[in-house]
Amino acid sequence: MSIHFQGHHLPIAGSKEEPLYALGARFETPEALVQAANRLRKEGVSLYECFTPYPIHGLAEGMRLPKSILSFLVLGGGVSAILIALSMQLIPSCIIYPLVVDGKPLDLLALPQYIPIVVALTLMIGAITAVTGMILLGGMPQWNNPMFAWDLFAKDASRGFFLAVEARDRKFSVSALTELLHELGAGDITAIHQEASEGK
Amino acid sequence: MSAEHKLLASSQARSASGILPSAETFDYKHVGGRFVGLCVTALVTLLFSLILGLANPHQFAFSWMFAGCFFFTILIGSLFWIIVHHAVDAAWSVGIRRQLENISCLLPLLTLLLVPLLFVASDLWTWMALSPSTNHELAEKSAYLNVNFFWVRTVFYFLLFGVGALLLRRNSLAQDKDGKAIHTIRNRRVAYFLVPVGAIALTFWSIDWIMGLNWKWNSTIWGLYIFAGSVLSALCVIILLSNSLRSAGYLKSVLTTQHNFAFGKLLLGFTLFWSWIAFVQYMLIWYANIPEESVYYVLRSSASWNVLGIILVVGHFLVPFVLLLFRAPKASAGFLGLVAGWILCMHLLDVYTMILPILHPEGFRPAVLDVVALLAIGCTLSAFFLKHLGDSPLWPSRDPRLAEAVNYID
Repeated sequence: MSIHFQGHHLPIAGSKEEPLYALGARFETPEALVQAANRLRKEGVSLYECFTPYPIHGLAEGMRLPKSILSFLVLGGGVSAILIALSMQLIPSCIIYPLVVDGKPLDLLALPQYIPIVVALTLMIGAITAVTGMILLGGMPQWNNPMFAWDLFAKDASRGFFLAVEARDRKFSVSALTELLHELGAGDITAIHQEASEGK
Repeated sequence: MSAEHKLLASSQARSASGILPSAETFDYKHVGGRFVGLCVTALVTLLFSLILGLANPHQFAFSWMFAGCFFFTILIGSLFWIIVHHAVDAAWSVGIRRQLENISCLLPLLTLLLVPLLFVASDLWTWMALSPSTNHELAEKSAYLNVNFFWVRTVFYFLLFGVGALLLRRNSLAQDKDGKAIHTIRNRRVAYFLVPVGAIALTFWSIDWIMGLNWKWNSTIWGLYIFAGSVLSALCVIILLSNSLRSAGYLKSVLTTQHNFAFGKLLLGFTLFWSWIAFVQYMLIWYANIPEESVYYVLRSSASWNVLGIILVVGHFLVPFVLLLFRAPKASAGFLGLVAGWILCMHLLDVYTMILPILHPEGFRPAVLDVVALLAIGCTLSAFFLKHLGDSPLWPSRDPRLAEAVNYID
């Protein structure tokens, strides 16, 4: 299914009856993708996403992505881990059931003996925060992405360099964006509609 | 396709896609009179060390040892960075490798500067003056701890590190002339050899030279502790050196902000590494509480030495850790230089608290000779470094990974 649009061939993915989700395009090289991301941002388009099989240097800068809050989440996780580890050791062995071994002190004078647990727990909670934070901030888990209505994307997402501008964007215009993406060297420009839901 | 051909092909493909920076050579107009000043300071302090040393050989032994060990750790750390560069086929560090080579090739000169220790050896390593026939503890250890074997080992360490450093630099310079990838492969082989052998040699060097200052004491993590300090201090020196070369207008095309991020990350990583090793050593000895082991920390936490120990914990760990935690400041070379200079001072204090408490168990007693020895060895090494800085291009200009290094993105 496709339509001809200002002399260009614009295929349609998904169900035509459903609302338009995005305009997708495929680039041959990562450099072209970075350039396109840069240009779209300059044109004032903000709701677009890049899909690449591996991380590409300069893409986040090209898309002007803000700094992720992940590092602060990890810092918070680490600091709370320090507090948890210290209180879980100090409260039982200094207050609830003081047990003197080798005549060693039990309070903060004996800090060295509490440190290994503090370090281990800080690393563990920090790492868990980093991984879960990355997954959640990345929008996962998500049952389906409307992008998969596009067969080419579903097939080649692990190989190609894709870009999709969402229809919700204030600057979204099929004609202008098709022109622009063509100019930037994109291939397989496709209008991606959402898939018809099961119930219908 | 052999490894050599692959390397060359990839380098040609890369240099075709981008323009490689042309080689720069250091111009002495940037140092001028300061070089003369350095030489004069070196000569004067060497003379002073001789006079003060003859007057007080015991103090001289420890001061000279302190200064020698401080610079030895820096030189050995530089050698480590070259070895690791070749062993893992790194790209980002090509731009700083020549300077690391220049620093590590001061090892033969440092060996020469350490020769005076021969005459005061029994002041430092007191077991040398004892006889195993009357000392049971020494008799038990004498299979390893005897004078002849000690000097054989010492010669081996300095020969190994010196020859290794010279070999790595020679291959690197040969590549500047003909651009052949085989030199990189050869250096890689040297590196593969030096990774295990050098690690063992450095461990035993630190046991023989520094742990041996109190021959009754032992710590199994000691070699790693010295290694951690060496790597960190060499990193600080190369950061300071590349900053000063950049401010003189060199290296700008090969070292970018991206390399600053790499420096910052490694600085943080190795600060944590040093801290962890130092803490683990302290914690295990403190917890086990065995007199043979705890004697080291008992000495260093009594009298005014305790203050230096606390400064070390705060200054060598907490301050750089907090400063380096955030990403944004690490883009700035000036900030990195400041932190690197600070850590280097802390490393100096670290080496000081390893060696001098044995001479002055009653507490911190700074001596003129400490400073004079530091200046004498430091200025001599710096003068030779500057003298040979202009002999070769400031970075390996025909390294196969140069294009990759220049375009490195952190």
